[in-house]
Amino acid sequence: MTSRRIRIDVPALTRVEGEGSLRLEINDGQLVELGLSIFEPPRYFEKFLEGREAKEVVDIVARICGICPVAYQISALNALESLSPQTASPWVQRMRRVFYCGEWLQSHALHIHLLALPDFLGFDNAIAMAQQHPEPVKRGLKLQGLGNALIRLFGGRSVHPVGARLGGFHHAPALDEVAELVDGLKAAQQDASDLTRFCASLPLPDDPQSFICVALHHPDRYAIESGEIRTSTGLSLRADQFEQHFHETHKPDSTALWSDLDGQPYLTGPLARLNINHVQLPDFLQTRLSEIGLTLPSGNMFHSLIARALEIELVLHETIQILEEYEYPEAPYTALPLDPGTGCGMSEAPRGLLWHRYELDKKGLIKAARIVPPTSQNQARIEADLHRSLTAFGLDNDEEALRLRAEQVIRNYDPCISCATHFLTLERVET
Amino acid sequence: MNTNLPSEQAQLIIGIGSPFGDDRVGWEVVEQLQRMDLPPEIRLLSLDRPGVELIERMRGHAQVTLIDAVHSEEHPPGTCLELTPEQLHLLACTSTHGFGLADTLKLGQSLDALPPSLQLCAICISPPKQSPAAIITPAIQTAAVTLARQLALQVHPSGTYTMEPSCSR
Repeated sequence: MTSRRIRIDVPALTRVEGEGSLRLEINDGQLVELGLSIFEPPRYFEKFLEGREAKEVVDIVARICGICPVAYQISALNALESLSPQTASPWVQRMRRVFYCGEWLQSHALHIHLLALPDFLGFDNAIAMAQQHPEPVKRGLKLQGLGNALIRLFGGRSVHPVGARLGGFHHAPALDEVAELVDGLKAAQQDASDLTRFCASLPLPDDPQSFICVALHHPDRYAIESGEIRTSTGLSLRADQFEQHFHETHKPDSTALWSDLDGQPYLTGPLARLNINHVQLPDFLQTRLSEIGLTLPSGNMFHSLIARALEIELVLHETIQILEEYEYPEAPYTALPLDPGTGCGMSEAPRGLLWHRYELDKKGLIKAARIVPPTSQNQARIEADLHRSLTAFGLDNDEEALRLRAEQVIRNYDPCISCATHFLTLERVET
Repeated sequence: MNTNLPSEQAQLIIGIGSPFGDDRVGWEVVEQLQRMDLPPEIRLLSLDRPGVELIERMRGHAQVTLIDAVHSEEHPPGTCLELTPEQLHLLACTSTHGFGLADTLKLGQSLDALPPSLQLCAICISPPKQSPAAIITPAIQTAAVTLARQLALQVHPSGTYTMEPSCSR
Protein backbone atom coordinates (compact mmCIF):
# COMPACT_ATOMS: atom_id res chain seq x y z
CA MET A 1 0.00 0.00 0.00
CA THR A 2 1.34 3.40 -0.86
CA SER A 3 0.92 6.19 1.64
CA ARG A 4 1.32 9.66 0.28
CA ARG A 5 2.07 12.46 2.66
CA ILE A 6 1.76 15.95 1.28
CA ARG A 7 2.92 18.91 3.28
CA ILE A 8 1.90 22.39 2.28
CA ASP A 9 3.61 25.29 4.05
CA VAL A 10 2.85 28.97 4.05
CA PRO A 11 6.00 31.06 4.36
CA ALA A 12 6.06 33.83 6.95
CA LEU A 13 4.56 37.09 5.85
CA THR A 14 5.31 40.16 7.93
CA ARG A 15 3.20 42.86 9.52
CA VAL A 16 -0.24 42.00 8.32
CA GLU A 17 -0.84 38.60 7.06
CA GLY A 18 0.56 36.19 9.61
CA GLU A 19 1.55 32.72 8.61
CA GLY A 20 -0.10 29.39 8.15
CA SER A 21 0.43 25.85 7.04
CA LEU A 22 -1.61 22.99 5.78
CA ARG A 23 -0.78 19.34 6.31
CA LEU A 24 -2.44 16.73 4.15
CA GLU A 25 -1.95 13.01 4.47
CA ILE A 26 -3.54 10.67 2.02
CA ASN A 27 -3.42 6.92 2.55
CA ASP A 28 -4.82 4.54 0.00
CA GLY A 29 -6.96 7.27 -1.52
CA GLN A 30 -8.35 8.39 1.85
CA LEU A 31 -7.74 11.74 3.51
CA VAL A 32 -6.49 10.60 6.92
CA GLU A 33 -5.05 13.85 8.19
CA LEU A 34 -5.77 17.45 7.39
CA GLY A 35 -4.37 20.12 9.66
CA LEU A 36 -4.74 23.83 9.05
CA SER A 37 -2.74 26.22 11.18
CA ILE A 38 -2.96 29.98 10.99
CA PHE A 39 -0.90 32.27 13.14
CA GLU A 40 -2.81 35.24 14.51
CA PRO A 41 -0.94 38.41 15.46
CA PRO A 42 -3.86 40.05 17.35
CA ARG A 43 -3.16 37.87 20.40
CA TYR A 44 -0.18 40.04 21.29
CA PHE A 45 -2.21 43.18 21.00
CA GLU A 46 -4.55 42.04 23.76
CA LYS A 47 -1.62 42.21 26.18
CA PHE A 48 -0.27 45.43 24.67
CA LEU A 49 -3.59 47.09 25.47
CA GLU A 50 -3.52 46.31 29.19
CA GLY A 51 -2.77 49.38 31.27
CA ARG A 52 -3.45 51.75 28.37
CA GLU A 53 -5.95 54.58 28.54
CA ALA A 54 -9.25 53.90 26.80
CA LYS A 55 -8.62 56.75 24.36
CA GLU A 56 -5.42 55.03 23.13
CA VAL A 57 -7.14 51.81 22.10
CA VAL A 58 -8.49 53.06 18.79
CA ASP A 59 -5.01 53.95 17.51
CA ILE A 60 -3.35 50.79 18.82
CA VAL A 61 -5.86 48.36 17.31
CA ALA A 62 -5.58 50.15 13.93
CA ARG A 63 -2.10 48.61 13.80
CA ILE A 64 -3.36 45.02 13.99
CA CYS A 65 -4.19 44.77 10.29
CA GLY A 66 -3.04 46.80 7.31
CA ILE A 67 -6.03 45.71 5.25
CA CYS A 68 -8.89 46.14 7.73
CA PRO A 69 -7.81 48.71 10.35
CA VAL A 70 -11.21 50.44 10.24
CA ALA A 71 -12.92 47.24 11.36
CA TYR A 72 -10.64 46.99 14.40
CA GLN A 73 -11.21 50.65 15.21
CA ILE A 74 -15.00 50.51 14.95
CA SER A 75 -15.34 47.26 16.91
CA ALA A 76 -13.16 48.77 19.65
CA LEU A 77 -15.19 51.99 19.67
CA ASN A 78 -18.46 50.04 19.81
CA ALA A 79 -17.14 48.08 22.80
CA LEU A 80 -15.76 51.07 24.71
CA GLU A 81 -18.65 53.40 23.95
CA SER A 82 -21.06 50.79 25.31
CA LEU A 83 -19.64 51.86 28.69
CA SER A 84 -20.93 55.40 28.23
CA PRO A 85 -24.39 56.63 29.20
CA GLN A 86 -24.30 58.79 26.06
CA THR A 87 -24.02 57.85 22.41
CA ALA A 88 -22.16 59.29 19.45
CA SER A 89 -24.12 61.79 17.36
CA PRO A 90 -26.21 60.71 14.36
CA TRP A 91 -23.64 62.47 12.12
CA VAL A 92 -20.84 60.37 13.60
CA GLN A 93 -22.85 57.18 13.20
CA ARG A 94 -23.51 57.92 9.53
CA MET A 95 -19.90 58.86 8.84
CA ARG A 96 -18.60 55.75 10.59
CA ARG A 97 -20.68 53.72 8.14
CA VAL A 98 -19.12 55.60 5.23
CA PHE A 99 -15.63 55.15 6.71
CA TYR A 100 -16.33 51.43 6.99
CA CYS A 101 -17.78 51.24 3.46
CA GLY A 102 -14.42 52.54 2.24
CA GLU A 103 -12.69 49.61 3.87
CA TRP A 104 -15.09 47.06 2.38
CA LEU A 105 -14.58 48.66 -1.03
CA GLN A 106 -10.77 48.59 -0.92
CA SER A 107 -10.51 45.16 0.70
CA HIS A 108 -13.05 43.43 -1.55
CA ALA A 109 -11.60 45.03 -4.70
CA LEU A 110 -8.11 43.90 -3.71
CA HIS A 111 -9.25 40.38 -2.95
CA ILE A 112 -11.31 39.84 -6.07
CA HIS A 113 -8.90 41.31 -8.59
CA LEU A 114 -5.44 40.63 -7.26
CA LEU A 115 -5.82 37.57 -5.03
CA ALA A 116 -8.76 35.45 -6.20
CA LEU A 117 -9.12 36.22 -9.89
CA PRO A 118 -5.83 34.59 -11.01
CA ASP A 119 -7.21 31.30 -9.61
CA PHE A 120 -10.22 31.44 -11.89
CA LEU A 121 -8.47 32.76 -14.99
CA GLY A 122 -5.60 30.27 -14.76
CA PHE A 123 -2.65 32.43 -13.74
CA ASP A 124 -0.06 32.11 -11.01
CA ASN A 125 -0.42 35.71 -9.92
CA ALA A 126 -1.96 39.07 -10.76
CA ILE A 127 1.12 40.35 -12.57
CA ALA A 128 0.98 37.51 -15.08
CA MET A 129 -2.80 37.87 -15.35
CA ALA A 130 -2.57 41.63 -15.96
CA GLN A 131 -0.65 41.13 -19.19
CA GLN A 132 -3.56 39.28 -20.79
CA HIS A 133 -6.44 40.75 -18.80
CA PRO A 134 -5.45 44.35 -18.08
CA GLU A 135 -8.96 45.80 -17.96
CA PRO A 136 -10.26 43.81 -14.95
CA VAL A 137 -7.08 44.62 -13.05
CA LYS A 138 -7.36 48.32 -13.88
CA ARG A 139 -10.97 48.24 -12.71
CA GLY A 140 -9.84 46.61 -9.47
CA LEU A 141 -7.18 49.23 -8.86
CA LYS A 142 -9.67 52.01 -9.53
CA LEU A 143 -12.22 50.59 -7.06
CA GLN A 144 -9.55 49.91 -4.47
CA GLY A 145 -8.24 53.44 -4.88
CA LEU A 146 -11.71 54.87 -4.25
CA GLY A 147 -12.04 52.78 -1.11
CA ASN A 148 -8.70 54.05 0.12
CA ALA A 149 -9.74 57.62 -0.69
CA LEU A 150 -12.84 57.17 1.49
CA ILE A 151 -10.71 55.86 4.35
CA ARG A 152 -8.34 58.82 3.94
CA LEU A 153 -11.28 61.24 3.95
CA PHE A 154 -12.00 60.37 7.58
CA GLY A 155 -8.85 58.58 8.70
CA GLY A 156 -6.20 60.93 7.34
CA ARG A 157 -4.44 58.01 5.65
CA SER A 158 -5.59 54.68 4.27
CA VAL A 159 -3.07 52.43 6.04
CA HIS A 160 -3.47 52.45 9.83
CA PRO A 161 -5.76 55.51 9.76
CA VAL A 162 -5.59 57.97 12.65
CA GLY A 163 -8.79 60.02 12.26
CA ALA A 164 -11.17 58.02 14.45
CA ARG A 165 -11.54 58.66 18.18
CA LEU A 166 -13.90 57.95 21.04
CA GLY A 167 -17.16 59.76 20.27
CA GLY A 168 -16.44 60.39 16.59
CA PHE A 169 -13.60 61.76 14.49
CA HIS A 170 -10.78 64.22 15.11
CA HIS A 171 -11.64 66.03 11.91
CA ALA A 172 -14.65 66.50 9.63
CA PRO A 173 -14.02 66.50 5.87
CA ALA A 174 -14.65 69.74 3.97
CA LEU A 175 -17.70 69.95 1.74
CA ASP A 176 -15.67 70.25 -1.47
CA GLU A 177 -13.56 67.17 -0.60
CA VAL A 178 -16.74 65.17 -0.11
CA ALA A 179 -18.36 66.44 -3.30
CA GLU A 180 -15.29 65.55 -5.37
CA LEU A 181 -15.23 62.04 -3.97
CA VAL A 182 -18.95 61.52 -4.57
CA ASP A 183 -18.36 62.29 -8.26
CA GLY A 184 -15.71 59.56 -8.39
CA LEU A 185 -17.95 57.08 -6.58
CA LYS A 186 -20.81 57.71 -9.01
CA ALA A 187 -18.49 57.20 -11.95
CA ALA A 188 -17.49 53.81 -10.52
CA GLN A 189 -21.00 52.41 -10.21
CA GLN A 190 -20.95 51.08 -13.77
CA ASP A 191 -17.58 49.41 -13.05
CA ALA A 192 -19.10 47.78 -9.98
CA SER A 193 -22.12 46.39 -11.79
CA ASP A 194 -19.83 45.12 -14.58
CA LEU A 195 -17.74 43.46 -11.88
CA THR A 196 -20.70 41.56 -10.44
CA ARG A 197 -21.69 40.29 -13.89
CA PHE A 198 -18.06 39.39 -14.59
CA CYS A 199 -17.73 37.41 -11.34
CA ALA A 200 -21.02 35.62 -11.98
CA SER A 201 -19.77 34.60 -15.43
CA LEU A 202 -16.61 32.93 -14.08
CA PRO A 203 -16.38 29.12 -14.07
CA LEU A 204 -16.73 28.81 -10.28
CA PRO A 205 -16.68 25.28 -8.87
CA ASP A 206 -20.19 24.07 -8.07
CA ASP A 207 -20.01 22.13 -4.82
CA PRO A 208 -22.84 23.06 -2.42
CA GLN A 209 -22.11 22.38 1.24
CA SER A 210 -24.07 22.61 4.44
CA PHE A 211 -22.69 25.05 7.01
CA ILE A 212 -23.78 27.44 9.73
CA CYS A 213 -23.76 31.13 8.81
CA VAL A 214 -23.05 33.86 11.37
CA ALA A 215 -23.41 37.57 10.62
CA LEU A 216 -24.51 40.80 12.20
CA HIS A 217 -28.05 41.90 11.45
CA HIS A 218 -29.43 45.40 11.80
CA PRO A 219 -33.17 46.03 11.66
CA ASP A 220 -32.84 49.10 9.40
CA ARG A 221 -29.96 48.38 7.06
CA TYR A 222 -27.48 45.79 5.77
CA ALA A 223 -25.28 45.41 8.84
CA ILE A 224 -21.76 46.74 8.54
CA GLU A 225 -20.68 48.92 11.45
CA SER A 226 -23.28 47.80 13.98
CA GLY A 227 -25.97 45.23 14.65
CA GLU A 228 -26.67 42.07 16.61
CA ILE A 229 -25.53 38.56 15.81
CA ARG A 230 -27.84 36.34 13.80
CA THR A 231 -27.08 32.73 13.01
CA SER A 232 -28.63 30.43 10.45
CA THR A 233 -29.46 28.17 13.39
CA GLY A 234 -31.88 30.80 14.70
CA LEU A 235 -29.85 32.53 17.40
CA SER A 236 -30.06 36.27 17.95
CA LEU A 237 -27.37 37.62 20.28
CA ARG A 238 -26.13 40.92 21.64
CA ALA A 239 -22.40 41.56 21.79
CA ASP A 240 -22.33 40.80 25.51
CA GLN A 241 -23.86 37.35 24.85
CA PHE A 242 -21.14 36.32 22.38
CA GLU A 243 -19.14 34.31 24.90
CA GLN A 244 -22.17 32.28 25.93
CA HIS A 245 -22.21 30.53 22.56
CA PHE A 246 -18.85 31.15 20.86
CA HIS A 247 -15.80 29.46 22.31
CA GLU A 248 -12.12 29.48 21.45
CA THR A 249 -9.79 26.55 21.99
CA HIS A 250 -6.13 25.78 21.39
CA LYS A 251 -5.26 23.02 18.97
CA PRO A 252 -1.97 21.14 18.73
CA ASP A 253 0.52 22.53 16.20
CA SER A 254 -1.32 25.85 16.03
CA THR A 255 -0.59 29.15 17.69
CA ALA A 256 -4.02 30.44 16.76
CA LEU A 257 -7.23 29.92 18.66
CA TRP A 258 -10.04 28.07 16.92
CA SER A 259 -13.63 29.19 17.35
CA ASP A 260 -16.83 27.20 17.48
CA LEU A 261 -20.50 28.03 17.85
CA ASP A 262 -21.84 25.66 20.48
CA GLY A 263 -19.30 23.08 19.33
CA GLN A 264 -19.85 23.52 15.59
CA PRO A 265 -17.71 25.18 12.90
CA TYR A 266 -19.34 28.15 11.25
CA LEU A 267 -18.87 30.65 8.46
CA THR A 268 -18.48 34.38 8.89
CA GLY A 269 -17.84 36.80 6.03
CA PRO A 270 -19.48 38.02 2.82
CA LEU A 271 -21.43 34.89 1.91
CA ALA A 272 -22.70 34.45 5.48
CA ARG A 273 -23.78 38.11 5.49
CA LEU A 274 -25.51 37.80 2.16
CA ASN A 275 -27.25 34.57 3.16
CA ILE A 276 -28.60 36.16 6.34
CA ASN A 277 -29.28 39.72 5.18
CA HIS A 278 -30.00 39.49 1.43
CA VAL A 279 -33.61 40.62 1.81
CA GLN A 280 -32.24 44.00 2.94
CA LEU A 281 -30.36 44.61 -0.31
CA PRO A 282 -31.74 47.61 -2.21
CA ASP A 283 -34.06 47.01 -5.16
CA PHE A 284 -31.37 47.38 -7.83
CA LEU A 285 -29.36 44.60 -6.21
CA GLN A 286 -32.42 42.37 -5.91
CA THR A 287 -32.75 42.85 -9.65
CA ARG A 288 -29.05 42.04 -10.05
CA LEU A 289 -29.50 38.79 -8.11
CA SER A 290 -32.24 37.76 -10.55
CA GLU A 291 -30.18 38.87 -13.54
CA ILE A 292 -27.17 36.74 -12.56
CA GLY A 293 -29.33 33.86 -11.35
CA LEU A 294 -27.98 33.74 -7.80
CA THR A 295 -30.43 32.11 -5.40
CA LEU A 296 -29.90 32.84 -1.72
CA PRO A 297 -29.12 31.43 0.73
CA SER A 298 -26.32 29.71 -1.14
CA GLY A 299 -24.27 26.73 0.07
CA ASN A 300 -21.61 27.17 -2.62
CA MET A 301 -18.62 28.67 -0.83
CA PHE A 302 -17.26 29.97 -4.14
CA HIS A 303 -20.23 32.32 -4.30
CA SER A 304 -18.23 34.34 -1.77
CA LEU A 305 -16.58 35.98 -4.78
CA ILE A 306 -19.95 37.14 -6.12
CA ALA A 307 -20.97 38.19 -2.60
CA ARG A 308 -17.94 40.50 -2.44
CA ALA A 309 -18.83 42.01 -5.80
CA LEU A 310 -22.43 42.60 -4.70
CA GLU A 311 -21.18 44.19 -1.47
CA ILE A 312 -18.98 46.52 -3.54
CA GLU A 313 -22.10 47.65 -5.40
CA LEU A 314 -23.90 48.04 -2.08
CA VAL A 315 -21.25 50.17 -0.38
CA LEU A 316 -20.90 52.45 -3.40
CA HIS A 317 -24.66 52.99 -3.37
CA GLU A 318 -24.79 53.52 0.41
CA THR A 319 -21.84 55.90 0.44
CA ILE A 320 -23.22 58.03 -2.36
CA GLN A 321 -26.60 58.23 -0.63
CA ILE A 322 -25.08 59.28 2.71
CA LEU A 323 -22.49 61.69 1.33
CA GLU A 324 -24.92 63.43 -1.05
CA GLU A 325 -26.63 64.72 2.10
CA TYR A 326 -23.33 65.51 3.83
CA GLU A 327 -23.33 68.54 6.09
CA TYR A 328 -20.36 69.94 7.92
CA PRO A 329 -21.02 69.20 11.61
CA GLU A 330 -20.82 71.59 14.55
CA ALA A 331 -18.39 69.14 16.11
CA PRO A 332 -16.93 65.93 14.61
CA TYR A 333 -17.12 64.15 17.96
CA THR A 334 -18.92 64.11 21.28
CA ALA A 335 -16.88 63.77 24.45
CA LEU A 336 -18.25 60.53 25.90
CA PRO A 337 -17.63 59.76 29.58
CA LEU A 338 -16.91 56.06 30.10
CA ASP A 339 -17.97 54.16 33.22
CA PRO A 340 -15.79 51.39 34.65
CA GLY A 341 -16.92 47.92 33.69
CA THR A 342 -16.85 45.46 30.82
CA GLY A 343 -17.83 46.62 27.34
CA CYS A 344 -18.40 44.37 24.33
CA GLY A 345 -18.69 45.53 20.74
CA MET A 346 -18.53 44.12 17.23
CA SER A 347 -18.78 44.94 13.56
CA GLU A 348 -18.53 43.23 10.19
CA ALA A 349 -14.94 43.38 8.96
CA PRO A 350 -14.55 42.66 5.22
CA ARG A 351 -13.67 39.07 6.23
CA GLY A 352 -16.47 38.73 8.79
CA LEU A 353 -17.47 39.20 12.39
CA LEU A 354 -14.92 41.02 14.56
CA TRP A 355 -15.73 40.97 18.28
CA HIS A 356 -13.98 42.94 21.05
CA ARG A 357 -14.31 43.02 24.83
CA TYR A 358 -12.60 45.48 27.18
CA GLU A 359 -12.53 45.71 30.95
CA LEU A 360 -12.08 49.28 32.09
CA ASP A 361 -10.99 50.05 35.66
CA LYS A 362 -11.89 53.04 37.81
CA LYS A 363 -8.84 54.97 36.59
CA GLY A 364 -10.01 54.63 33.00
CA LEU A 365 -7.29 52.13 32.14
CA ILE A 366 -7.73 48.89 30.20
CA LYS A 367 -7.57 45.99 32.64
CA ALA A 368 -8.15 43.22 30.11
CA ALA A 369 -8.87 42.97 26.40
CA ARG A 370 -10.14 40.19 24.18
CA ILE A 371 -10.27 40.32 20.40
CA VAL A 372 -11.78 37.57 18.25
CA PRO A 373 -10.92 38.19 14.57
CA PRO A 374 -12.80 36.65 11.64
CA THR A 375 -9.92 34.59 10.26
CA SER A 376 -9.62 32.70 13.52
CA GLN A 377 -13.38 32.12 13.52
CA ASN A 378 -13.30 30.72 10.00
CA GLN A 379 -10.43 28.26 10.60
CA ALA A 380 -12.62 25.29 11.53
CA ARG A 381 -14.92 26.01 8.57
CA ILE A 382 -11.95 26.24 6.19
CA GLU A 383 -10.69 22.89 7.43
CA ALA A 384 -14.13 21.30 7.02
CA ASP A 385 -14.37 22.83 3.55
CA LEU A 386 -10.94 21.45 2.62
CA HIS A 387 -11.99 17.97 3.71
CA ARG A 388 -15.10 18.16 1.63
CA SER A 389 -13.72 20.01 -1.40
CA LEU A 390 -10.53 17.98 -1.81
CA THR A 391 -12.41 14.70 -1.49
CA ALA A 392 -15.00 15.86 -4.02
CA PHE A 393 -12.21 17.13 -6.29
CA GLY A 394 -10.55 13.71 -6.21
CA LEU A 395 -7.66 12.70 -3.93
CA ASP A 396 -6.11 10.77 -6.82
CA ASN A 397 -5.29 14.06 -8.53
CA ASP A 398 -1.61 14.91 -8.73
CA GLU A 399 0.00 16.99 -6.01
CA GLU A 400 0.09 20.15 -8.05
CA ALA A 401 -3.63 19.98 -8.79
CA LEU A 402 -4.40 19.21 -5.12
CA ARG A 403 -2.25 22.09 -3.95
CA LEU A 404 -3.90 24.50 -6.34
CA ARG A 405 -7.38 23.41 -5.28
CA ALA A 406 -6.41 23.67 -1.61
CA GLU A 407 -5.07 27.18 -2.18
CA GLN A 408 -8.21 28.13 -4.04
CA VAL A 409 -10.40 26.87 -1.21
CA ILE A 410 -8.38 28.71 1.45
CA ARG A 411 -8.10 31.94 -0.55
CA ASN A 412 -11.84 31.95 -1.06
CA TYR A 413 -12.20 32.89 2.62
CA ASP A 414 -9.90 35.88 2.11
CA PRO A 415 -7.90 35.01 5.23
CA CYS A 416 -5.21 37.42 6.34
CA ILE A 417 -2.60 35.01 5.00
CA SER A 418 -4.02 35.30 1.50
CA CYS A 419 -2.20 38.57 0.86
CA ALA A 420 0.37 36.45 -0.93
CA THR A 421 -1.18 35.29 -4.17
CA HIS A 422 0.92 32.15 -4.37
CA PHE A 423 1.56 31.24 -0.81
CA LEU A 424 1.57 27.48 -0.44
CA THR A 425 4.60 25.31 -1.01
CA LEU A 426 4.23 21.59 -1.24
CA GLU A 427 6.46 18.79 -0.11
CA ARG A 428 5.66 15.19 -0.95
CA VAL A 429 6.81 12.26 1.14
CA GLU A 430 6.20 8.70 -0.07
CA THR A 431 6.32 5.99 2.58
CA MET B 1 2.18 72.78 -3.19
CA ASN B 2 -0.09 73.97 -5.98
CA THR B 3 -2.96 71.49 -6.13
CA ASN B 4 -4.74 73.37 -8.91
CA LEU B 5 -2.12 72.54 -11.51
CA PRO B 6 -3.14 69.73 -13.90
CA SER B 7 -1.49 66.44 -12.89
CA GLU B 8 0.15 65.93 -16.25
CA GLN B 9 2.07 69.20 -15.81
CA ALA B 10 3.15 68.40 -12.28
CA GLN B 11 6.13 66.39 -11.12
CA LEU B 12 5.37 64.08 -8.25
CA ILE B 13 7.91 63.01 -5.62
CA ILE B 14 6.73 60.21 -3.33
CA GLY B 15 8.44 58.97 -0.20
CA ILE B 16 7.46 55.39 0.61
CA GLY B 17 7.82 53.43 3.85
CA SER B 18 6.56 53.08 7.36
CA PRO B 19 6.70 56.19 9.56
CA PHE B 20 9.25 54.60 11.92
CA GLY B 21 12.96 53.92 12.08
CA ASP B 22 15.15 53.87 9.00
CA ASP B 23 12.25 52.63 6.88
CA ARG B 24 10.93 56.20 7.11
CA VAL B 25 13.81 57.54 5.03
CA GLY B 26 11.48 58.23 2.07
CA TRP B 27 9.27 60.30 4.35
CA GLU B 28 12.33 62.12 5.66
CA VAL B 29 13.40 63.12 2.14
CA VAL B 30 9.91 64.47 1.47
CA GLU B 31 9.92 66.40 4.74
CA GLN B 32 13.28 67.93 3.82
CA LEU B 33 11.89 68.95 0.42
CA GLN B 34 8.80 70.45 2.07
CA ARG B 35 11.11 72.85 3.92
CA MET B 36 12.64 74.07 0.65
CA ASP B 37 11.09 76.68 -1.57
CA LEU B 38 10.35 74.44 -4.52
CA PRO B 39 8.39 75.50 -7.61
CA PRO B 40 4.61 74.92 -7.42
CA GLU B 41 4.65 72.23 -10.10
CA ILE B 42 6.49 69.92 -7.68
CA ARG B 43 4.07 67.81 -5.69
CA LEU B 44 5.25 65.99 -2.59
CA LEU B 45 3.67 62.96 -0.97
CA SER B 46 4.52 60.45 1.77
CA LEU B 47 2.85 57.05 1.63
CA ASP B 48 2.86 54.36 4.30
CA ARG B 49 3.35 51.11 2.34
CA PRO B 50 0.75 51.86 -0.33
CA GLY B 51 0.90 48.50 -2.11
CA VAL B 52 -0.79 48.52 -5.49
CA GLU B 53 -2.54 51.79 -4.70
CA LEU B 54 0.73 53.43 -5.72
CA ILE B 55 -0.29 52.88 -9.35
CA GLU B 56 -3.45 54.93 -8.82
CA ARG B 57 -1.54 57.63 -6.93
CA MET B 58 0.94 58.04 -9.81
CA ARG B 59 -1.74 58.02 -12.51
CA GLY B 60 -1.85 61.11 -14.68
CA HIS B 61 1.60 62.40 -13.74
CA ALA B 62 4.20 62.65 -16.49
CA GLN B 63 7.16 62.55 -14.10
CA VAL B 64 7.31 60.65 -10.83
CA THR B 65 10.21 60.10 -8.43
CA LEU B 66 9.88 57.34 -5.84
CA ILE B 67 12.08 57.15 -2.76
CA ASP B 68 12.19 53.99 -0.67
CA ALA B 69 14.48 52.14 1.71
CA VAL B 70 16.12 48.89 0.62
CA HIS B 71 18.17 46.27 2.38
CA SER B 72 21.37 45.54 0.50
CA GLU B 73 24.35 43.48 1.60
CA GLU B 74 26.45 44.95 -1.19
CA HIS B 75 26.24 48.58 -0.10
CA PRO B 76 26.82 50.27 3.27
CA PRO B 77 23.84 51.88 5.02
CA GLY B 78 23.17 55.35 3.71
CA THR B 79 24.20 54.55 0.14
CA CYS B 80 21.80 56.09 -2.35
CA LEU B 81 21.12 54.12 -5.51
CA GLU B 82 19.18 55.10 -8.58
CA LEU B 83 17.58 51.92 -9.83
CA THR B 84 15.42 50.62 -12.61
CA PRO B 85 12.33 48.60 -11.59
CA GLU B 86 14.14 45.48 -12.79
CA GLN B 87 17.10 46.20 -10.52
CA LEU B 88 14.77 46.84 -7.60
CA HIS B 89 13.32 43.38 -8.02
CA LEU B 90 16.77 41.90 -7.35
CA LEU B 91 17.03 43.65 -3.98
CA ALA B 92 15.20 42.71 -0.79
CA CYS B 93 13.08 45.79 -0.30
CA THR B 94 11.71 46.67 3.13
CA SER B 95 8.29 47.29 1.65
CA THR B 96 7.42 43.63 1.32
CA HIS B 97 3.92 44.27 2.59
CA GLY B 98 1.63 42.13 0.52
CA PHE B 99 2.35 43.73 -2.84
CA GLY B 100 5.73 45.37 -2.31
CA LEU B 101 7.15 48.15 -4.44
CA ALA B 102 8.93 45.83 -6.88
CA ASP B 103 5.77 43.78 -7.49
CA THR B 104 3.67 46.92 -7.74
CA LEU B 105 5.96 48.37 -10.42
CA LYS B 106 5.90 45.07 -12.30
CA LEU B 107 2.11 45.14 -12.18
CA GLY B 108 2.16 48.74 -13.38
CA GLN B 109 4.38 47.72 -16.30
CA SER B 110 2.02 44.86 -17.19
CA LEU B 111 -0.85 47.34 -17.25
CA ASP B 112 1.15 49.96 -19.14
CA ALA B 113 0.16 52.24 -16.30
CA LEU B 114 3.50 53.63 -15.16
CA PRO B 115 4.31 57.31 -15.73
CA PRO B 116 6.35 58.10 -18.86
CA SER B 117 9.24 59.24 -16.67
CA LEU B 118 9.80 57.24 -13.51
CA GLN B 119 12.83 57.75 -11.29
CA LEU B 120 13.48 55.31 -8.50
CA CYS B 121 15.80 56.32 -5.66
CA ALA B 122 16.68 53.70 -3.06
CA ILE B 123 18.57 54.37 0.16
CA CYS B 124 20.26 51.33 1.66
CA ILE B 125 19.45 50.60 5.30
CA SER B 126 20.44 47.81 7.69
CA PRO B 127 17.81 45.21 8.54
CA PRO B 128 16.59 45.81 12.10
CA LYS B 129 18.22 43.28 14.44
CA GLN B 130 15.13 42.90 16.63
CA SER B 131 12.24 45.30 16.57
CA PRO B 132 12.50 48.39 14.36
CA ALA B 133 13.77 51.51 16.08
CA ALA B 134 11.32 54.36 16.49
CA ILE B 135 13.67 57.02 15.13
CA ILE B 136 15.88 57.28 12.09
CA THR B 137 19.62 56.62 12.58
CA PRO B 138 22.13 59.47 11.90
CA ALA B 139 23.69 57.88 8.78
CA ILE B 140 20.30 57.44 7.14
CA GLN B 141 19.22 60.93 8.17
CA THR B 142 22.33 62.33 6.47
CA ALA B 143 21.56 60.33 3.34
CA ALA B 144 18.01 61.72 3.34
CA VAL B 145 19.28 65.31 3.53
CA THR B 146 21.75 64.65 0.72
CA LEU B 147 19.15 63.12 -1.55
CA ALA B 148 16.65 65.89 -0.81
CA ARG B 149 19.16 68.54 -1.89
CA GLN B 150 20.05 66.57 -4.99
CA LEU B 151 16.39 66.21 -5.97
CA ALA B 152 15.76 69.88 -5.28
CA LEU B 153 18.57 70.85 -7.67
CA GLN B 154 17.28 68.36 -10.21
CA VAL B 155 13.79 69.88 -10.29
CA HIS B 156 14.93 73.47 -9.75
CA PRO B 157 18.51 73.86 -11.02
CA SER B 158 18.61 77.59 -10.30
CA GLY B 159 17.89 76.98 -6.62
CA THR B 160 20.49 77.65 -3.98
CA TYR B 161 20.64 74.24 -2.35
CA THR B 162 24.03 73.00 -1.19
CA MET B 163 25.25 70.22 -3.48
CA GLU B 164 26.33 66.96 -1.89
CA PRO B 165 27.69 63.74 -3.45
CA SER B 166 25.11 62.36 -5.83
CA CYS B 167 23.30 59.06 -6.10
CA SER B 168 25.22 56.24 -7.78
CA ARG B 169 23.61 54.73 -10.82
